[in-house]
Amino acid sequence: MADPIILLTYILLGVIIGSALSIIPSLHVYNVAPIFILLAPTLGISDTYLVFFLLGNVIGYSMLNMISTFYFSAPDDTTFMVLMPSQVMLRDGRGIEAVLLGGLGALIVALIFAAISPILLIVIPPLISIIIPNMHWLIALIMFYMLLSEFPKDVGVGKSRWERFKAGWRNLAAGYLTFILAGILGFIVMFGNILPAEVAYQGLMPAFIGFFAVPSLIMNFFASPNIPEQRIVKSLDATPIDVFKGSFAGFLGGSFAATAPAITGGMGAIIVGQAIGQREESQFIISMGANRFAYYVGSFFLLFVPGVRVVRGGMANLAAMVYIPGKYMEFYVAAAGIAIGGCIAFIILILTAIGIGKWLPKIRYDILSGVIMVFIIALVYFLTGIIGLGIMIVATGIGLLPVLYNSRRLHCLSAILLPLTLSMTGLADDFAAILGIKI
Amino acid sequence: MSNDASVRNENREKGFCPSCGRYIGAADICPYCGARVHKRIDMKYIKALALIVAIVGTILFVVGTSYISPPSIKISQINQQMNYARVKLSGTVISSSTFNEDSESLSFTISDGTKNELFDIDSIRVTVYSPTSKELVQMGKLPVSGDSVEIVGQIKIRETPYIIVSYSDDVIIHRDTPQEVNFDQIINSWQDYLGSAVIIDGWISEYVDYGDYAICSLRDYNYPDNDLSLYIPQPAKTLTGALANFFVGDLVRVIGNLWEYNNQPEIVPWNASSILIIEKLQLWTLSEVMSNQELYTSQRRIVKLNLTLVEPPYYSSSGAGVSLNVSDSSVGLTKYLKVWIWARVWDDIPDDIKENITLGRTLLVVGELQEYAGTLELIIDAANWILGVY
Repeated sequence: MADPIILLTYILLGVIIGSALSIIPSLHVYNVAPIFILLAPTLGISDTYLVFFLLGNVIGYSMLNMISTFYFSAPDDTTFMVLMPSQVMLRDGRGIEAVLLGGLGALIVALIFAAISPILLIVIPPLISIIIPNMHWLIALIMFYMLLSEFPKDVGVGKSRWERFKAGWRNLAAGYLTFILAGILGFIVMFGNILPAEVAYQGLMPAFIGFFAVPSLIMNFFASPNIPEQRIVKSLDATPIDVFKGSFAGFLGGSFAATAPAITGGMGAIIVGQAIGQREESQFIISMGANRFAYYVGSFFLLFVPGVRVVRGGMANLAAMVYIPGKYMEFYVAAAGIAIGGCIAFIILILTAIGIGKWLPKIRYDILSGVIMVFIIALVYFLTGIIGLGIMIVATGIGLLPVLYNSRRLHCLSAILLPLTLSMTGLADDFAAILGIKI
Repeated sequence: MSNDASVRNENREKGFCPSCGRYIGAADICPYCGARVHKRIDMKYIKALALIVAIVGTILFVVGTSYISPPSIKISQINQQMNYARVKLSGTVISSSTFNEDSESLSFTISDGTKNELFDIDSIRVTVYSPTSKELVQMGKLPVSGDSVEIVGQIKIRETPYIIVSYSDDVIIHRDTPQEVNFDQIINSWQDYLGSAVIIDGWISEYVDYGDYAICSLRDYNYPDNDLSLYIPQPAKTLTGALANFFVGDLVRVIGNLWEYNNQPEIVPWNASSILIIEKLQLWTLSEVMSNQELYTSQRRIVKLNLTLVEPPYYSSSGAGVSLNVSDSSVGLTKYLKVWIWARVWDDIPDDIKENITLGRTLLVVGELQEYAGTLELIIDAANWILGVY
């Protein structure tokens, strides 16, 4: 049996390396993990140690990627909603504070996971058995919620009826068009053999980069914002109630997303945020950090629960290819690693946020966005080839619609929701027939 | 956008330098302060471009997908990057379909002759979930050992790879027209027929029912020491209708694949209708048996007899079994046949039947004729070979 101290060491090593890589804008931990999996045998790292190393990566990513999201506006599917408040804070010189608020939420969730880990052993198995048979209508309900919560909208303003009609429905139409196109694209990527078999494991990665990361970079390029000097704060503008509410909402939303298949952290955050009536800016940012950590780390942590074999999230799917932990010792080491690793990642976050924050006013965002864009294009091409690049381009067009027409970027998540709902309800074949394709 | 940026935009549009505010007309560089005047693209063009890329791109992908078919791969080619890839695999079924009632899933294993060094496997499990699994059961499209199949499914890797098939059209079973073979061909060159569809006749010499499957033996009385294993998998036993009601001693015709188990030949029927009864075992008389003792014992013939106990059952001192001295009216109860029941078989006989095996009772039994120390014996090899006690 593996030594717990060595397992913990691998977690902490993963935290440090994951944190370093996570600062790179638009580089997702799911893109880097396959490289580690391929390198591990060459480096003599056993499958068991590798899985704990990947846990450390996820911890580091969940914490440190807030730097690239908040500072460089390169969000993923869990942080696209926090972009507006964080951009406002950045332009007010409070970027460092925004990052630390998000990090605080993540840190609290890390400690919560460690504290409640024994309870998880009792709660998770029955919870999974309840969720799984009901997934199809649960996801369908979430889709309906996404579409119906667009209403009510502002009335249209214009001189003629047509102009008023156009103005009133422009945003809604853009949102629904985004939903439909993203759903179709997701369906084709998931079921249509569009990606070569050798890169199939990347799945929707090029689409998600196109939906969320690239549009933000394009808008940065054209807006070319001037970021003022960022203040190094000694305290955070959040009351204990804000911290509690934000962490609670984020933990709930992220844990819900972590447990239920197909639901990402972003969706979980929106549902819970609306459910508890979140309003304060600091609460919102704390909840986003908490949600992100709960989703990424929580979904991977489920893999360690002995006896249930729950595989949720991209990292768990990757890790399950090599080793699925099953011992109680491994579970508790993982819980300890989340707490200790979370603290270390938070310290790294503080240092990095201040260090990079000082340089922000000197950064040309248009040039930086251009460089990141080139990096992303190269990464997508390297990982998925020309077809993946094409998917990214089309997804960028779709992802720009909500940004340009002021509707919700949430609709891009129909790329996962629609195909999975169709598959779970046995309607995928019929939908494919409507599109005229065979899957 | 901040107010400063809006003002700068406005200045640019009106021909003023965004930095010093002096009028510069259409100049790209301010002649006064040297600031660059960026020409900005109108957002309406970006909006239109986004709309076109999104709609046209999606349509192109839809059209393009209709021309794409899953790539054919070998087991040896599977690696971690292929997780979730939809592929086509052709091979031979090495483990017959099994249907799990609880999960309503169907599984079988195929091999294509290649070995995957990464995962150290030379075969891959194929799983089908409901409702497709139930469709396949209803269609009788259930591969058995030896079948040549083509499947299209999604690779999933959980420590070891397996394939999930989602549509009933994605399972194609290739079965040639079966050829008639005899025991002589099987004994001498069964490897030549490995994986082939065959028809073979034989007498059932053993039948063990395991619920979802059964293991039998087929015998040709010309080759009594070369019984052929008959494996009846779940598709034939319970999933494709009622199996013919055959028993030990019946002459049957089996249509199926010649496969191998533990380096020995084995027949695997395709479905319930692949086993046909040619002739049920008839009731024999003791005089017929005794008249042809040498022939029938050399054949290890299986017979059915109505026999009366002429002595109480004798329990061997070594505990090896129980012997019964029996006779019937065809020999005027004057000649006796020894019936031997092994101890393990005797223990399996229900108590209510055992209690009735007493002097004077008549037993309807199936047994195998053998000779032991020059004496004719009828061996009862299973408890259910005792068909009744009167």
